[in-house]
Amino acid sequence: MSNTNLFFISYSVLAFSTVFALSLFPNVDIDVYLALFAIEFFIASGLASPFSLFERRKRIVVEVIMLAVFAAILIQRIAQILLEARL
Amino acid sequence: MAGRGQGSCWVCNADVDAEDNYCSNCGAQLLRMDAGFQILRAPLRADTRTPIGLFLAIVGAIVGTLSYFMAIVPMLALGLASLLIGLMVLYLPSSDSVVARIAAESSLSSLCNIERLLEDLDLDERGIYIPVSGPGVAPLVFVPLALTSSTKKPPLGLNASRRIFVSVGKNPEDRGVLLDSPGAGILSSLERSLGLDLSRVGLADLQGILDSGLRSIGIGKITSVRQEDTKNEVRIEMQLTALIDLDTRLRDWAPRLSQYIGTPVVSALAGALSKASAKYVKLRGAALDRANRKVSVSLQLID
Repeated sequence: MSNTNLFFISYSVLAFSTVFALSLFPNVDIDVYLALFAIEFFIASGLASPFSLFERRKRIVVEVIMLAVFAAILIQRIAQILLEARL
Repeated sequence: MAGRGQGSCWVCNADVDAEDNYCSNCGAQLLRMDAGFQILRAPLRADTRTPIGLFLAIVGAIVGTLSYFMAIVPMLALGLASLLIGLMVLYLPSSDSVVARIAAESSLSSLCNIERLLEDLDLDERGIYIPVSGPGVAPLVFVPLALTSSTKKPPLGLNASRRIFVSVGKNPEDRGVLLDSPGAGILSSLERSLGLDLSRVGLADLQGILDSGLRSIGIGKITSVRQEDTKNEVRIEMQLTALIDLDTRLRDWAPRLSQYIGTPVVSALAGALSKASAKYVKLRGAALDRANRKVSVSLQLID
C-alpha cells in the first residue's frame, strides 16, 4: 500500500471514529470536532510519512490550512476564557 | 520500444513486430513493455480517487448543510469530515507524478548504456566504491577486470580522474573501468538537503542521518543499519516511497549493473557507507521486496 493511500485510510478512520465517539457525549461544540480533525490530520501525516517530494509540496498547503483552523479555534477559546474571567 | 502488436524500435524508431526480439534495421535488443513496465496496481489508484473524492465531497456538503440548518452537531461534524476527506482525496496527488516518471525514464537509457559497456567488456567483478570526502561529492566506482592486490584497493586519487579505462598497477590485469556511481545524484541531493558532508559522520550515526536525508528528498526511509564485525559486512534495510518502478525495471533490463554496481538507490547507500566509513565498499547483494517496497542491501567494507 502506498503512503498516500495509507494516509487517506488512517485519516478517514481517525476522523469518523472521532465523530462516532464525540456523538456519544451531549453538548459538544463543532469547534471541538474541527480541532480534533486538524490534530488527526497531523497524526495521519506522521504515520504515513514519508511522502514523495511532489506530494509533500501539495500537502504543505493543507497543513497550513489545518494549522490556521486549529490556531483560530484555540485563540477563540482562550479569548472566551479570558473574557469570562474578566467578567 | 516494442509493446504488444506493432511497435517501433527504441533506438532507430523503425517498425518492428510484436514477436521480434531484435530490430531488423539496427539490431538493437527490443525492450518489451509487458516484461518490465508493469506498474503495481494500488488498491486506491489515481484514476479511482476522483470518483471517490467527488462522492465524499458531495455527500459531505449535502449532509453538512442540512445538519447545519437542523442544528444537529454530530451530523454536521460527519458532513464536515466527509467533505474534508473528499477534498483531500481530490487535491493530494498520487505519488507517481509525470515529472518524476520522465526523470526516471531519462536516467534509464544511460544506465542501460553502462550495462552494455559491462557486458561488452565481460566484466564479472563487483564494483568497488572509492572513499571520498567533501559535501555533495559522490564516490566513483571502480569495476576491475580481475581481482588482484592492486585492483582490490584502487588508489584514492582515482576519484579525481576523468578517464573511463584506468590502470592501477603494472600488470595487464590491473585494469578496470571507472564510472560515476548510479546513485551519485541521490547522494549529492541527500547531502545538500541535510547541509552536511557524510565523510564527517561516523558509522554509528549513519542510520539516523541517512533516514532523515532520504525522507527529506522523498525517496524512502531507513529501517535498519547493522554491522556484522566478523565479516566486515554492513546490512542496510530501507523502505522506498519513490523510484520503485525504476529499481524493478533496472533489475530486469540491467542485471549486471544491478548486481555488480547497484541500482541508483542501492548505489547511493553504498556511496554513503563508503564516505561515512572512509573505506572501500563492495556490493555483496541487494534484494527488492516489491510488494512491501523494501530494499535489503548487503555491503562489504574492505580494509
